[in-house]
Amino acid sequence: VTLLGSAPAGAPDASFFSANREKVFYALAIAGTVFLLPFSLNNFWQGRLLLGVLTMVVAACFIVNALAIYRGKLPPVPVVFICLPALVGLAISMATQGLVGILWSYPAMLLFHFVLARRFANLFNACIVLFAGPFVYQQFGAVLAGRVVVTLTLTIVFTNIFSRITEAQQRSLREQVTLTANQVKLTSELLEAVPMSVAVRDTEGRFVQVNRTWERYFNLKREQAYGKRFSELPGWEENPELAQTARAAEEVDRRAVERGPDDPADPIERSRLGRTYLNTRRAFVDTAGRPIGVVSATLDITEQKAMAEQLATEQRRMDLVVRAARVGIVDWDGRTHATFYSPRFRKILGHAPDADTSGWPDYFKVMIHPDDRERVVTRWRSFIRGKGPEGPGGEYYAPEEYRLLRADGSYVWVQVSGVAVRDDNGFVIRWIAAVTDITKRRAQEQALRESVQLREDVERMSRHDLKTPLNSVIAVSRLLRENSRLAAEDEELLSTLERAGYRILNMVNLSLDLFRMEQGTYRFNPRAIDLVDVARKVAADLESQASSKNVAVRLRQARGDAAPGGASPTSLLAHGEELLCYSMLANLLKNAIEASPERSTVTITLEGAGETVRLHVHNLGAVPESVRASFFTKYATSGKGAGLGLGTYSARLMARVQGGDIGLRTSEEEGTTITVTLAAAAQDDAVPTGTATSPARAEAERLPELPALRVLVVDDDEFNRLVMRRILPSPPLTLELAVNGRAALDAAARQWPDAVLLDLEMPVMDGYETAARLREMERADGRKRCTIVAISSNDDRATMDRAIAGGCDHYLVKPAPRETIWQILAGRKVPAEPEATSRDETDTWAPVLVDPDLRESLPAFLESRRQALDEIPIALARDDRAALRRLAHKLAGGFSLYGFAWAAAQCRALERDAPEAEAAALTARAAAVRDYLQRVEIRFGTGGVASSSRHA
Amino acid sequence: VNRGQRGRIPRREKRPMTIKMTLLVVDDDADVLGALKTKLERTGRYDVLTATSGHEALERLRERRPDLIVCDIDMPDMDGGGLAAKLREDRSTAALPLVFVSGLVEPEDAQGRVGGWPMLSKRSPIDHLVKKIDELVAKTT
Repeated sequence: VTLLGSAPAGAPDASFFSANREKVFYALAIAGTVFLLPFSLNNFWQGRLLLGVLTMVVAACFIVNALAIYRGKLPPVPVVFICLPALVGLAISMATQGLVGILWSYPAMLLFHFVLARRFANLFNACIVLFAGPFVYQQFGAVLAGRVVVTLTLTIVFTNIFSRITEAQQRSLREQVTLTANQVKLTSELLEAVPMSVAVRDTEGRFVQVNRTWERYFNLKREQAYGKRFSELPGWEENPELAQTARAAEEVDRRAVERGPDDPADPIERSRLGRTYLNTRRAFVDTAGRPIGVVSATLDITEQKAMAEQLATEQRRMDLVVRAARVGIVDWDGRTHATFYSPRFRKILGHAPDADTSGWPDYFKVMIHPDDRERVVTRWRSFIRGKGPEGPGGEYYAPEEYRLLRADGSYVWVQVSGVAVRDDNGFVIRWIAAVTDITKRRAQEQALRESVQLREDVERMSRHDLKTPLNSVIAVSRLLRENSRLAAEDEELLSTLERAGYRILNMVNLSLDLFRMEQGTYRFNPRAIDLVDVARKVAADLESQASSKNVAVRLRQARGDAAPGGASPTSLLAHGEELLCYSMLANLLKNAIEASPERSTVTITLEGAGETVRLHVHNLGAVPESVRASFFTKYATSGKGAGLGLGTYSARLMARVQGGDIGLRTSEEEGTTITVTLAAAAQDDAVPTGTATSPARAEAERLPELPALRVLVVDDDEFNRLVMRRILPSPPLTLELAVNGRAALDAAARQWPDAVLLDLEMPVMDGYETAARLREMERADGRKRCTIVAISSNDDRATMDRAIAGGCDHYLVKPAPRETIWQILAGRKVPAEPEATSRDETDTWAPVLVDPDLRESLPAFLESRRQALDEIPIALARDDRAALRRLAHKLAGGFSLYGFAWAAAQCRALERDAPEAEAAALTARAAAVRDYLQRVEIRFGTGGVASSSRHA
Repeated sequence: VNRGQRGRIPRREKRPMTIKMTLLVVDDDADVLGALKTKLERTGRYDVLTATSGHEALERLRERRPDLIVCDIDMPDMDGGGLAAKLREDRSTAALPLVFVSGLVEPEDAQGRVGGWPMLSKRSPIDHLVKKIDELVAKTT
């Protein structure tokens, strides 16, 4: 059933017929009509009806199939059905006609071979041989039968050989066709796929083939190009530029053909319509070497070219930047450890910019200053291993400063920062560092530090210098007033002078305080302040200013408060400092009076509101729109000729320092109200018994009796010495005066004083050293302990500490009131027996209160302190002041925490004096501390704030 | 302020279910370090890690992340400032709260900040320092 055409093409068993079905059927149809028909008709003529019909059927089948194929359809008659009548007809003709039938079996065999698959055809034909052999033998004898069989078999063999040869030929032909087709397909796919435009033109310049990229570049379809020259492309003739290009292109084609395929021209860059292309032409020739066309390949390189240009520009700019920034570049390869040093870097190190760096020593091992090396290398190592603070993926190496070796053997300070490239493991494989010469900057910084230090020194000294004569002004006028009999007018003048002096002094002190507030170092010392009292005082002090403008100042209590509304207030306690409150309110009130219209009223309203108290200053003038936003900022003023605009600024500063704040509400209708909010006084705030200065004044009423003491006054200022001489009555006291520390020591050596009044800032030998030396003398010579009172214009804590640590018992700020000095002198009971010298009422020997939690560790602690103290003389013997400083610092830290306040203060003084003081003084102090540790009483407990031994 | 002293609560009372904060105390003086560790741990509120130098502190930090670093300023080798700078450089530690303790300042002056970090004075008895640390921990956590 599968005989007809169903075998796949090229299959080994396919018959010749199936491969050439069309030709076979046409040939068979013709042969059937021309040769078979006469014999069929003859059969009818001879009366062999069946044979005639069968041959006719065979011929008809051929014609029908040939016709169907001619019409493009499948042959309707299966081959087997054609063969069957042929086989039957052959059998009949053999049976009826003998040898004639045998003759017909030859063409039948050929027929079967052609129309059937070879295997079936051979089967049929073998059947014919087997069937014809015995038949001929029976009828004509063995000789003829043998020949018939041999000829028939030969026919089968020949037809097989023939069909095999043709099949092999056909197969190889088919394969070649397939191969060629594939190659053509591949080539065209390739052509389409390449991202460059490819065009093939014949020798006449006509386009034969182009690819997709060509279509895109030229914005044309390939059908529009095939068969045309450049100049004939649509739209090219009209455009003069393109026409020019076309001519040039055709010329290039011609030249390429002339050069031949073996000598193609170099790629040419050309531009068309604003884009840049790179083009190659190459002639191609046939097998005989005749040129048959040109292949032209073009690449659009506009972007690449732009990029390359940009890159070059960037590179140039980068070079300029590097040169302009005066930054040296070090480029380190982590794999090869090769290092590139930029010319600028070489210059930083004092080499020629083009110096050969190949022989340079290792950057880390040699070039970095030995003192910096370990620090830098440690950081660097952890950085490249990704273990530094930058983390495992850290790229940026934050700036670091160190010294590098210069060509001349000196070192240069540089700042180095860098960027790293890391591999997958986080290891740095490349590191590019920017190196800046910072020698100059460091020098500038140093100079700046020094100038700041200088300015601070100058400031402190000028303050001191200002205060010293001022103190004399105050003290002298007071002495004159108290000790002389003066006319009432003179008395009044002198008291004015004294008040003016105090005012200047307060201004100096306040400016210092303001400075501290700005710096945030102001020490707020709050107590309960009666704002009503303060407000009354301010109002009284500004009375004359107010009346000159016809402005009334009214003080009232807010409605709803405990006091009857509007009535004169009684008291309102705030948590603050009296001086600050006074200055703040004075500033605000002064501004209010200035801003107030003539003949109006400025109202101060006091309001207590639970946790806070408020103070409103109201006037009818409005703050101009333009300055409202900056009302409380420094140097903001409005329409004032004089004044720096510090009033409101300092008022706010003071309000904030006291834990409060200040606010502004202003409008044309309601005028201006400034509201100060402060915390209400806490229950445990100290309540002043009167005005701030009153305790001293109260004391002044009853000056104590002075014992007969030997007092040494040490001051370099002659006015101060004069004042002291007047303050301290000569009997009962015996006074000795000295102009500096050295003179004081001499005087003390001559005759040991009971008390020393010591100025701290003096030339030749200052008060700190004097006190230390005095204590040393005291100890060395077994003198009885004298009272040392430090008197200084400085009121900062550091100075106080230093004085106390240096051995002073008391600290007074100039101008020291006579009463206080008298108190100290009188309160000092000079013991008759030297036995009780050390353990007097100064709290040096107060029991030390140690936290119970530290009870266990205390013995070890004391032991380690003793060891450290013992190391001090050793360090001094080596003159290792740095070691001494470290020891003292360590000692001070531990002592404070454990509660040994006095020892801590001593050690801090040691630490401070370590660099300069004389070894003997330092040793003595260390010994004193060690002695103290042996003897001081230690208690365990908490809660008590161990007060440091300080009197101010 | 005084309330804590008036109400006589036993100070070493065990508080159930409180999560302990971890402190890293850095000081080159072993005695100071020991005293602070003892005192802080006895409050029952802290686990205290210690280090005697900036370098050691960095080591500790690699092992465990504290809630607050209490650091002495003046130390040999790497001082407090150096440590703080290191911490700030590194993004992972830049946000760690740190407080300086120094013997160089008075308790009253120690309200200022050094390079943005608060500073406490070592010049006060230890229970005051611990109280200040308590306040800071309460504020920062």
